[in-house]
Amino acid sequence: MTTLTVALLVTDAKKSAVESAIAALTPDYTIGFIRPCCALTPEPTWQTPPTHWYANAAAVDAEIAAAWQDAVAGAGPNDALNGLILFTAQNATNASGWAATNLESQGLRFVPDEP
Amino acid sequence: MIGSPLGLAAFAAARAAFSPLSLTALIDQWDAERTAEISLSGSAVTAWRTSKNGYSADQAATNNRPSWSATAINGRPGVTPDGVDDFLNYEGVGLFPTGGNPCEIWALVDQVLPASDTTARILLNYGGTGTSTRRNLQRVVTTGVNRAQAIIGNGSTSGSPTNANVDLSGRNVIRCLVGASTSRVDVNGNAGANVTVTPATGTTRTRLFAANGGTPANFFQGVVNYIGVFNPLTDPEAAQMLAFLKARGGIP
Repeated sequence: MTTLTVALLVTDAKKSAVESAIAALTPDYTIGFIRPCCALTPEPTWQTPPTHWYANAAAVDAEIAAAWQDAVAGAGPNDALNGLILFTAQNATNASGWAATNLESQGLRFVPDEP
Repeated sequence: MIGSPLGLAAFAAARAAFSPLSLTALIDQWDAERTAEISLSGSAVTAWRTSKNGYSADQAATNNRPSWSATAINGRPGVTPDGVDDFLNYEGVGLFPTGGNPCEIWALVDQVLPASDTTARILLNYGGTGTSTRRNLQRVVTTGVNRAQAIIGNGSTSGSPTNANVDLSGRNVIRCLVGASTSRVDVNGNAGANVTVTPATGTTRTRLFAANGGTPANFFQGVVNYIGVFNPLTDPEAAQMLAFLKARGGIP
């Protein structure tokens, strides 16, 4: 079975709604957003409030990834995923490096970890 | 003549038969080669239980689960967190030593991140949620080199014994010795420097591959074959553990 690596980026305001919507849409693959993100500039600290949240989903069945993409495009009955940004890769072997690239493309980065 | 071929074979068999479970000092262990103690959904780890007491380190959200493979490290089983958001959580500390009681933490890992990634990456921490109340084994970068480090909370701040001798890149055996007044970190049998610290370890939770706080952070990236927590070992027992984990990891 073909699987993909899918990264998901959501605004802080829609985080909980997207988690719930994905749990309802694909209960076999749920998402927990636990990595806070913020703007690349000004230089953030670990206390910078998140504007977005990022998730890395490995080994996602192609059917599940397609269901997420359809929902993002508004093809499904649930519009909660509107605005969710998806990044896909065949095999993202360095997930943290890939994440940095994905976030930079949106002018974002991870909020630094607490020192 | 020191040994006959038969004697060597018997020695090899005896060495191969060693298990940490034979050590009375073992408090508990997560062993990726004991597949009955790992619950999978596909290749994703939903729960990893300890061998003696069944402390279950769990993950509910699918994307936050590390993966398991039978050939992840030196052709042997390993659990692989992605370094972004994978971790396993056990809400308690079981019988792991708390307060000021000493312990040893042993691990066989393949640390894959380059030193250009300077974020601290936690392999295991248990105790309280902050660095002042937990015992924490992690990979850090100091002066441009990957290192193994422990953070030992003393109740108000912490000590940070670091092995400054061995590059933690690739496959390594880590031994963290937490004493009543000093602690150190050894890598592949190379002893790190002692740091004076009196532990004051809490009882809130145990977390693999991320920090113990309310929002997980400091995610480990690499492969983990073994993590064990022990009461202090004798020198012969420590030598057995080192040889056992080095053999697993193919470490000279």
